[in-house]
Amino acid sequence: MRKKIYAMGAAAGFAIIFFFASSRTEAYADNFKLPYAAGQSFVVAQGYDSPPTHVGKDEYALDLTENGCDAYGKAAVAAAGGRVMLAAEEGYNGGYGTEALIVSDGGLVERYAHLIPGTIDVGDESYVTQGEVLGRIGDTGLVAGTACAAHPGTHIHFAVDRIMPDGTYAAYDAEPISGYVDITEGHWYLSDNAPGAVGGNNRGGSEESPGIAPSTPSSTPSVPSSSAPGLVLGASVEATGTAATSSPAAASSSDDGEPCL
Amino acid sequence: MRMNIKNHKTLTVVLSAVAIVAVACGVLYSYRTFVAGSAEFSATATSTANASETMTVFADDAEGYSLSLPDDWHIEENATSSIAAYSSSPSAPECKISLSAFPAVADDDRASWIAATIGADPTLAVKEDSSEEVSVDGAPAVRWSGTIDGAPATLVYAFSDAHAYEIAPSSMDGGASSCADALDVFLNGITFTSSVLQ
Repeated sequence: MRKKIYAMGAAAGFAIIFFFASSRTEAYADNFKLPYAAGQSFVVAQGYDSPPTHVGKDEYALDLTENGCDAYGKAAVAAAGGRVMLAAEEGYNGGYGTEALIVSDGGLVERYAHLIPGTIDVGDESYVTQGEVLGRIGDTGLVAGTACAAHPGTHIHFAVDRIMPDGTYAAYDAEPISGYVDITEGHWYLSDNAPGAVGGNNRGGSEESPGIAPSTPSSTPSVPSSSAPGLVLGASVEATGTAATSSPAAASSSDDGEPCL
Repeated sequence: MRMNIKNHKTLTVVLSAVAIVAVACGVLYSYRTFVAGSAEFSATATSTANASETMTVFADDAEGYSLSLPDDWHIEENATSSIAAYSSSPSAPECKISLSAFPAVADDDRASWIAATIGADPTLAVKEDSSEEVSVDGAPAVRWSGTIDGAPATLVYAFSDAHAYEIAPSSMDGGASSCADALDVFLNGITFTSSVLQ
């Protein structure tokens, strides 16, 4: 009898531990998805911990884009649900330009920056759900780049900050994002961020390559007539466990780092 | 320590209830609903163009501004009254100057409005070094200098009857300080206009 009671008590304890562990996971890392629509592949133009801009609270920021100007005007979608802390349609905003901040359960703040002015679809203090369109990807604020001549530096800057007890903001490693870990500059990542989707990419395998970006970006690669270095042009992407080799015409991060905020 | 049978049963019931509630809460907490968002967008922004002649951008029906910049500058418009001007080639600009238009601000509220605008993003660490009253095309303006998240920044706010304009120079190479000359060119090339008068 006593053994039975002990066993039941242990089971209850495990259940409680499981609940709190799963709650934290739900509120934090495992639930984030890439900030663009499902089925699209973007390349990381600037990755983690890369000066001059991805430092400090932006240490874990990602700058994501496509070939040429392909990313311009595409939807920036919520990586996780939460409350709209700031919907800044206009302005420099410290270099982030037009941006949206979403605060999630658990005190994490997601930043979606460099959007096109006037395209933010959500209002201050409104609530958004994962996969909901927030605005359109653009080039406002402190950006630079040569791949898109019409809108230089087009990309989405996505980062997650943690609100510290003293009210300051610190960088937060949001991986896995859509199931990806070790997200790396120069690699393409396929989004699974659709409204109503749950879980990350199936890393157990797919037809193209195990849980990774397709061999060719979802959008048609465009190669500008200019041969300026940048996000576009010819460089192949190293195949890794998390991103596939791009086509010859597909984009990659440039050697010059395509610096942007 | 020995427990009697009654206490055993009570403990069992309590622990079982806790387990059931914990699992149920976990399931509920994990459950999410989603709302579909629009997936298509028609980009109405125009491409960058050489600033070979005076360019007029209306902020709205009441008033706007025009720019007269050197030939080697480029101007990028978008769907709103905001623009970005690039000194020299946009591929390798010496400086990018962003202009954003906001609703008019009452004279007495300008200082607080500037502070609120610069600090609208609560994640930014803003430190003011100076705030100087200047003039842009005859309109009252403030030239603000300081640091934002530790990076030097210079922002100019001009106030017309119908709008407040934020003019923000930026450069990857040397921060806003390397844009000093370009900012002067830009400020000398801007003219506030009124469609009513045309």
